[in-house]
Amino acid sequence: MARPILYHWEPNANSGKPIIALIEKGVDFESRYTDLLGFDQHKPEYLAVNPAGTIPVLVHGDAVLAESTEMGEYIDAAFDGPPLRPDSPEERWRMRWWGKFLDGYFGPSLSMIGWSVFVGPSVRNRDPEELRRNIERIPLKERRDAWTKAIYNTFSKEELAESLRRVLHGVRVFEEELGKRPYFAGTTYSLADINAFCMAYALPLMQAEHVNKEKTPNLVDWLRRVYARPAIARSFELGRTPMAARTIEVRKLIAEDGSDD
Amino acid sequence: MIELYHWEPVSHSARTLICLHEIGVEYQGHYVDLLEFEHFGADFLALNRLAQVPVLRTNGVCLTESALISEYLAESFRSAALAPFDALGWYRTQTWSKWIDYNLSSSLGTLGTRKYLVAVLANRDRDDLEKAIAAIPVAERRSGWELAAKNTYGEDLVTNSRRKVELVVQRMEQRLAENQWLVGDAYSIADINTFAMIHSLADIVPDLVNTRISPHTMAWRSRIAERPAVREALALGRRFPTGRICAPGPEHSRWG
Repeated sequence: MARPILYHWEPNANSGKPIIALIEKGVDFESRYTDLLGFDQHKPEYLAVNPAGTIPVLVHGDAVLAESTEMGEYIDAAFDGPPLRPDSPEERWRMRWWGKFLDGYFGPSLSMIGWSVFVGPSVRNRDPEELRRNIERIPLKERRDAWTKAIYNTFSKEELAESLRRVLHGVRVFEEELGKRPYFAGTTYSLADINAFCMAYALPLMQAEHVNKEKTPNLVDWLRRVYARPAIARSFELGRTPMAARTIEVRKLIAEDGSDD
Repeated sequence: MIELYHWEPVSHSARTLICLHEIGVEYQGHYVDLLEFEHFGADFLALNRLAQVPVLRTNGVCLTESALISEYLAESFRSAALAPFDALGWYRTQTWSKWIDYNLSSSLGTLGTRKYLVAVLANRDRDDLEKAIAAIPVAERRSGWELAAKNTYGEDLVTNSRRKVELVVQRMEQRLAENQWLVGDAYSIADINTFAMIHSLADIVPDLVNTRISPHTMAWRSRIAERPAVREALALGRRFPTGRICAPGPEHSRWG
């Protein structure tokens, strides 16, 4: 089958999941950087690939895949390379449980904070008429609402406080569960770790007061082990904004005492 | 031995019950009466601290989240052929169920509790009910029961729930106009997961799901309802109206 094509933004949140999975598997793929902040995902040529206007998209032969979490299972099943799903059915269930927790509970709250402090301010000062036209072009109601809130900065105080509460609750759940087993699904590194890493990789920097060696030793230890994987460093090479550069700072924060790593 | 903690054969509990009966595996069922708040008791919270049914206990692990239990059962009992196992077929099965959950789980909870649970709770002693709701230990569950007890569903919530049901029905009609089943060419957990919700929605919002607006969906619904395993599962209800009474579902998405 043809070489897979991945449309993606920064190696972060949703785009990070298939980038890391493909690199972990050693798949040769074509990277097509799609600039979320330039509204590339709402342009006609992109909508022709994915009418929903969401990033990332994996094109493999005739198949067009647009759900990043399930894309990981597809990548694991369709390509050779080291397995990214556990063999045990119970650990597979746990891997998917994390997918659901991250996508349904933790992610939306984390991204609400991200959109209010990063995405919104990055585009807000552009021509208002152009911004309005961009919003109108967004196909999904959910995404239209999100962009409207980010651009006009209408996140309420309560909404952001609730988001932070949920993120910190998520951090407590991560910490507790990583005390029971070395990786999110169980004894081996899996798609659950990739998904969690894409959302949690900058927490020691963004939530330094709550995520650090003293308060969340299990989470920090896990982050250190995942950061040490060669595929992670290679994934961040695909980033073009200062987001990827933050990882250098994060690695300093979580380095073992006396180590430069 | 597989143990299943479930409520009425409706929505999430119905999914797992149907899967188990389709597979034909022996299991020990435990009926958890949500109307008696049994899922908020210490015994049940020890199985699932999020206080949600169903819970499937197997090999010492308590599995939760009905769509993920369906996937677990399909993969563990491959000979029952409850899913396509090629990479793309599996992806389509997973993403269909995820989309159904996103659009129907919370909407069914909202529309179903408004139709049936409100009346059930209205007959309870006010003080006792308020105390019981205040004592619910999981914040995300408490708000759903409060809404039903006070019958304070906002117009936005109802409109958005109905919009999501319409969206699902439109897509199902398109798909089922040319196909027997929702994913691939065989009955699968995508059909089971969806049927478990559409089954009662035809009764809860008959103006949105009916033979005129959604003939293909209704025909598909009948095909599934006639399966022996589905009839067995649906016969396990104890509350009236069987297979329709609803509990508050999971929260709606925070992004709309």
